[in-house]
Amino acid sequence: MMADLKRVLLAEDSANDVELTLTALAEHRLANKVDVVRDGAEALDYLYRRGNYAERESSNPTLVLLDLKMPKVNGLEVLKQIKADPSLKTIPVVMLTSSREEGDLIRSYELGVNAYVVKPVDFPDFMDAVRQIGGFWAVVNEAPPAAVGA
Amino acid sequence: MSPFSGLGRQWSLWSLSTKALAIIAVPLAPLLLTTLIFYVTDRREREAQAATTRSAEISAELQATFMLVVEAETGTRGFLLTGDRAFLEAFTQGVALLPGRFQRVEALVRDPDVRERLGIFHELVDRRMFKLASVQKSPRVPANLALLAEVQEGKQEMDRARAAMRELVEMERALLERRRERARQFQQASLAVVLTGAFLGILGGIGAAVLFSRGIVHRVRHVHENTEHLAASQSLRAGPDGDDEVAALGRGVHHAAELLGERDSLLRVRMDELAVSNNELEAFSYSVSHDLRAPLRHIAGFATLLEKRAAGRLEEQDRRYLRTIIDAAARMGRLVDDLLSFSRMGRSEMLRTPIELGPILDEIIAEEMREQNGRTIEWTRRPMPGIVGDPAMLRVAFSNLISNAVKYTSTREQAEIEIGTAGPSNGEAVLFVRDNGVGFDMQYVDKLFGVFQRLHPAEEFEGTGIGLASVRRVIQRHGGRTWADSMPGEGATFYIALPVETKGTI
Repeated sequence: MMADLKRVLLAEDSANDVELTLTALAEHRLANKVDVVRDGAEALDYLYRRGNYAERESSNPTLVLLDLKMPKVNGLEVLKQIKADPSLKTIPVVMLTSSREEGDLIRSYELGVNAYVVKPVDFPDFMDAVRQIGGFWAVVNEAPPAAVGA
Repeated sequence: MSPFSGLGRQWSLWSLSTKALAIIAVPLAPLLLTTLIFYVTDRREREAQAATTRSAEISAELQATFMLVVEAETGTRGFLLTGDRAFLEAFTQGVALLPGRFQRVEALVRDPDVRERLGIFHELVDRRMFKLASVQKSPRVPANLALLAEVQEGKQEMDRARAAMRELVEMERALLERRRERARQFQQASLAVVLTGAFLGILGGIGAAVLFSRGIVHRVRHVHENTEHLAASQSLRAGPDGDDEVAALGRGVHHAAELLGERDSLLRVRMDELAVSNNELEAFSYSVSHDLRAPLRHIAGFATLLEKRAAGRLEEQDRRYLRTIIDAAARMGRLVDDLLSFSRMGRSEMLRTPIELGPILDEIIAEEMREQNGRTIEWTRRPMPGIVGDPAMLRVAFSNLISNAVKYTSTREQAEIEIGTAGPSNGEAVLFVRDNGVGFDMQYVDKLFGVFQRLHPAEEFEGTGIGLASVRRVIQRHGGRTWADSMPGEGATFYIALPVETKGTI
């Protein structure tokens, strides 16, 4: 029985990376619905249901996959806002990025990131990582009760 | 005031040795004066002593001389009375001895007045003796008459002679007294001079001490203060003034301060440049870390997807091409990772803490064993000395060395890897990782630690050629050395020497 991440928000600026990530998620049939935003500003609009996303349904995504380097507003800034906002901070955020720089790691954890995953170059490894992330958050982890946030 | 200020200016021009001489001269001069006075006083004292002795002798001689005359007279009278020639012995003796006596006295007398009186006395004595002699020769007239006449005349003459003698004695005594008085006065005067001299000497000594203190000690302290200010990077006090060696020393310190200040600002400029350089490197690494990896992932990712989707439609050759693309991308990914790691070893701030190598090595070995399932590796780990350094960096270094050992023994059935020490020698702890793998040709030993340098083709042993370069960089930053030893086919030993600050084995 495949567990399900009801809705995932993927914030990623590179079209190629979007495609690869979506392929990996689909391969393991992990996510019912993946919403993609191409920069930090869009991500925040989505989460706050404003701008282009004013009409979306009201529940929070079950997981946010966040890239670090994005135009307009970068991943760290988005993370900071999510974790600072009582209505958003319960959403699990996984940093999904190329950088293994110590500074980025430290800063992310200081801001309260739930997980930090460095995207491997090797595609099978990447698929494996996505499967594990999805598996963990969908199956192993107990999601916060629906009443919290949103 | 003006002679003093002139002197003061002179003073500042003199060299230290001249000043020292002047300072020593100040208490020394009264001392020399005192010594001179003592000498002179001593001489005078001796002279006075001699004069006293002489006076006493003169008196004694005069009295003795007079006694001779008295006895001659008495003898003559006796002869006149008795006609006994035996009584004339005294007279004869007198005649014989008197010249000698007078000679001695004359030799002793110094004073011209006394000499004159002595002459008179001599004459009187001579006359008396002559008289006595002639009385002896007179025919034996009724003895009483001759004797009477004699007695009358004689008494007067003798009285005169006695008076003369007494006068002489008195004169000598008076002279002596005067001399003594003079000597006493001289002594008092010289005592006064000596006391004054001593007092001046003490004053001079104090003056010299003050001069020394202010002129030299004070100024030397000034220079010393400045050297301490210099050492503490504080501003220096101007001076000390003057033209002597101390002033020159002081100027030297000021000059040194200037030079140091210049070097300081130069250093600061360099440090700023370095900081800028480091920041640029930091930014560069960050870029590489992100931006180089992304396209690589895309290449590998889409090639893999293609491989999966089109595998059935492709020929052997096509599939091989695809594989090559994927492998190349993967390899570049590893290169990028290694390069970043290498760069970090040079950039990051180093810790300096005491390290226990034992647990670190055990962890690395455990990790290697986890990844090498199925291989037989015999590990020998000896006790490691206590060293000081950066734990993270040293972990990378040993990790590289050990994984190399594991890699290059992969062709052996039983791999033997030893990690040990070659014993501390003059402040260094020498560690080594030895394996029984394929080894290398010592001809290329210098290339071994170079960046991206490999001595084996990638098909035989995979690797990026940066592991040993990282090891060398880490060890260099710790102030140590790296070298290697090997025989082709007979394994290799890689040595690390680290400066030891603490002793002890773990």
